[in-house]
Amino acid sequence: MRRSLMVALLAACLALGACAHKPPAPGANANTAVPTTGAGAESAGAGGAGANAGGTEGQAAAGAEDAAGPQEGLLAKRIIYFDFDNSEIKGEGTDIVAAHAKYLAAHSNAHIRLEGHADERGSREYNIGLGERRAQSVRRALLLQGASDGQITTVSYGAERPAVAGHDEAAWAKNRRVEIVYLK
Amino acid sequence: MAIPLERRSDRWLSVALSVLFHGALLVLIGLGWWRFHRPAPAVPQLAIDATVVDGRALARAQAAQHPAPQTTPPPPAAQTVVPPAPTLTAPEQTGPPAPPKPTAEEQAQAERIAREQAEQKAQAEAQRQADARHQEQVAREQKREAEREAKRQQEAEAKRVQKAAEAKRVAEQKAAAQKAAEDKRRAEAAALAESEADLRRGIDAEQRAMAASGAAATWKQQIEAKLRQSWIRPPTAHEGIDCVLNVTQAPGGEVVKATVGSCNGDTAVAQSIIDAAYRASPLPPPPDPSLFQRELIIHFTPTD
Amino acid sequence: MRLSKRSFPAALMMCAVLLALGAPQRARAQLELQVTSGVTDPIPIAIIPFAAAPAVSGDVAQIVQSDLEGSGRFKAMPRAQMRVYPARAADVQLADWRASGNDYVVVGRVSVLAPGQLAVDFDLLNALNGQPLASQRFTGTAAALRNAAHRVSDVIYEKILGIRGAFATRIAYVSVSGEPPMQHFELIVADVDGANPSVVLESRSPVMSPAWSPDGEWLAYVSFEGKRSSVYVQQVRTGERRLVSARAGINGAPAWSPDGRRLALTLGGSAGNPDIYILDLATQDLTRITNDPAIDTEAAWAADGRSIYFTSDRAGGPQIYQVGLAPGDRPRRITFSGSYNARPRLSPDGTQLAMVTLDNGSYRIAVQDLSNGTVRVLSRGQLDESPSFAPNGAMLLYAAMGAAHGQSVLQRVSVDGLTSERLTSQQAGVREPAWAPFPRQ
Repeated sequence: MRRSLMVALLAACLALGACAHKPPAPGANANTAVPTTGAGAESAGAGGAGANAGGTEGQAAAGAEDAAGPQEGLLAKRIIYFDFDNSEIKGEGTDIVAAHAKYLAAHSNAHIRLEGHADERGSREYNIGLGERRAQSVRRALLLQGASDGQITTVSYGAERPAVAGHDEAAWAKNRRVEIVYLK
Repeated sequence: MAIPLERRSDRWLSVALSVLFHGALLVLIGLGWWRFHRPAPAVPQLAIDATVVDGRALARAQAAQHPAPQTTPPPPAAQTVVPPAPTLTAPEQTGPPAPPKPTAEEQAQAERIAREQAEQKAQAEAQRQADARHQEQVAREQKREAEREAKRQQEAEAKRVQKAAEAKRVAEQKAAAQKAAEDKRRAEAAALAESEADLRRGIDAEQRAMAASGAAATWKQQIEAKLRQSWIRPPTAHEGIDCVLNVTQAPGGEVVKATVGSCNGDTAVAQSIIDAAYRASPLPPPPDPSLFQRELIIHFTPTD
Repeated sequence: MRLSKRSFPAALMMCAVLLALGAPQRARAQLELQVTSGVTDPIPIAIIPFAAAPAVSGDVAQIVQSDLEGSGRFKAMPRAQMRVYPARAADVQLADWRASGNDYVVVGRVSVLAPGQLAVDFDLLNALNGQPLASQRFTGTAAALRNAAHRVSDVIYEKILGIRGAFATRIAYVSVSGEPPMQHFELIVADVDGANPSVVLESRSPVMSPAWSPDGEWLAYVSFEGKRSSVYVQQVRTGERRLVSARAGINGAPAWSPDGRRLALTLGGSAGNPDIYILDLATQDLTRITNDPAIDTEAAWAADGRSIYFTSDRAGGPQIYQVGLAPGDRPRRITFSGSYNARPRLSPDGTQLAMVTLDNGSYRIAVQDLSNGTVRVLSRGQLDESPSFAPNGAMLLYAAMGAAHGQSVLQRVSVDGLTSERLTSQQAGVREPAWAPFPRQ
């Protein structure tokens, strides 16, 4: 009985979520020229100007975000791990998700970003898709347990931002993850 | 491009030829089977060259052929020996006449007895004679029978021997014929297999088979082998390329001229086959100098 | 072959077959032979050091030698074995060079035409039969001397092998330094032999999926600056940069149409369902191409621009599909061997499909012949990725991520699998190579 209720709830949430978001509007954000910085180094024959993107901004922002958000108990845990080729939340991940969902439900001003990752095996853009699948899996679980849609954004880094270097299962297991980042 | 492609047309051609060959092979096998299988002698023991002989008949035949010393044991039903019945054995009246004069009864009795004895004697005698005659007759009959039997045996024997000889001849003939058929089948199968292999090797093999003499064939093969080693195939020389190179060689085998004839490859292919001829120079000499030829026509048809 | 009268049908069969083969047999005065195979040995060639005016710096012959030997199809005579250095075709005693084992000889000279203007002249001679094959001049600035040398290599390669050389082309790749989680990323454009690297973008956030426009002027790529994925295009010569798509969710896998007017993109939206879209760069019109819950990404255009190949895991695991761009066209599956086939790239002539495939537990580069479906695995590493065709279709560049010493390297392999070469290794880990098209003259 409970299960079908949860499923119905999930379906309702998804339906609402779909309605709330229009398909990406054509033309939005496109063709905005980003000014290039500097002329870049001159090289024989090849030429070319360098551009700096996201220079120090990324690092500073990350530092600030780490300190943000609740730190009590399970809420201090921000990483959910996954099995190979899988986006199902298991084990401790379930508890972590539950804790954060409860927190988000109670604090409607809190916002998080879910960052999905995959291990390095296989092709890169497909891994972006896998990371996104995991982030969406966590997002749905959070929504199901009380968070609201406006509190969550997702990004997938695929295999581009590993937590651990290495070409073995020990490293890969640590890289198949979703990280919860509280935003200011 | 370096990637060799298998053309659909080639595949179909191979399938068609394969079907053709296997069909021909099946037809030939059927032909041979039909022809040589028809007369069906049921003689499994042809390999054993012998006849079955009955030991007793043999003995009888021998006896018939050599009638004599041994008397054949009398056949049981033939006669019965009647031993003289041990009747009153009248004492032999020999010696001096008895002083007492016998009575008339006694005399009559004595006469009667004598008469009986005489009768018996006569009977026995007759019997004996009859027996003897009978025995003789039986013996004669036996003899005749034996002779006839022996004759029959002889004839049967002769016939059997003849039959055996005949069968043997037939068997040998059949074996020889079977062997011939088998040999022929094998030869045909081998021939077909060889031609199939030849097909696979292409015109090269066909030319070999048609070569005027073994020496010329060998020489061609030597040149072809050296060319194979000398031809550096460019990536564009894929399967399906068919280029002709006309080569002129001096008597020492040195290549003095190489020009491309018809060629469906690009300039790199044409260049490469010219290079091949010069790299292979001097070409190997023929085993028999009289076979030397200045002009060569070389077909480059790479397979993958 | 003994043929008795009884095997007449068989003999008839064979005759018919042999006749069917064609070549009628007539008596000839010439000997007729057939060669059905050859060798792929490297061709021996002598590349004699070019005579150069004193002001000229740069060793053209050395660059040509590295190019030709790196292709795996040539074997250059070591300089130490050369007795004389003729600079003109007339001065070359071909018989001597042939006797030293060379099939071809290259001579040349670099001269100053005007201040800052050089001329590179060369001759290619066939030592086997004495024929001159090529005689040409390239002019340019001193800075362009390497480029001129590469063009000499192109001519030699094409004259002898029949395939246009790709030695004067460029590549783009991503260079990563530092250890996770803090890494530093650079998007670099360099000559195909690795010389003249120049940084076109540097970032502390990941950069991925560089893609050359068909005219070789622009690079599209994905950047994670701003903690989200966005697609940019950047003009390599000037550095001018334009944002193409920063929609919610995934923005990735940019691919230029053959006419350079459209970009295929992967967009995920906030629902996180990656699908293929086509963006018209002039009108900004967005057309959705796939619409299903599976991951659909990594679009690659067919040469005629009328269909797109892409990766999709709609069948469970990633496989490569093709979909026409006319309305109503449905995707059809292309790869059937193995459980993982992704990242399609088409050869310039459109007949071959390169991909990343899972081969016995290792991720390797494979090429599928689109006409008959045969697949050939070309690489041997454990974590090979990002295959990119040379513009002449003869070679593939890819990244070998599982290198033993830890740093990923770029590897070049010939499409027929015969040659393989590691590119000059740098300190940093290099990945995601993209081979630029032939420069428009």
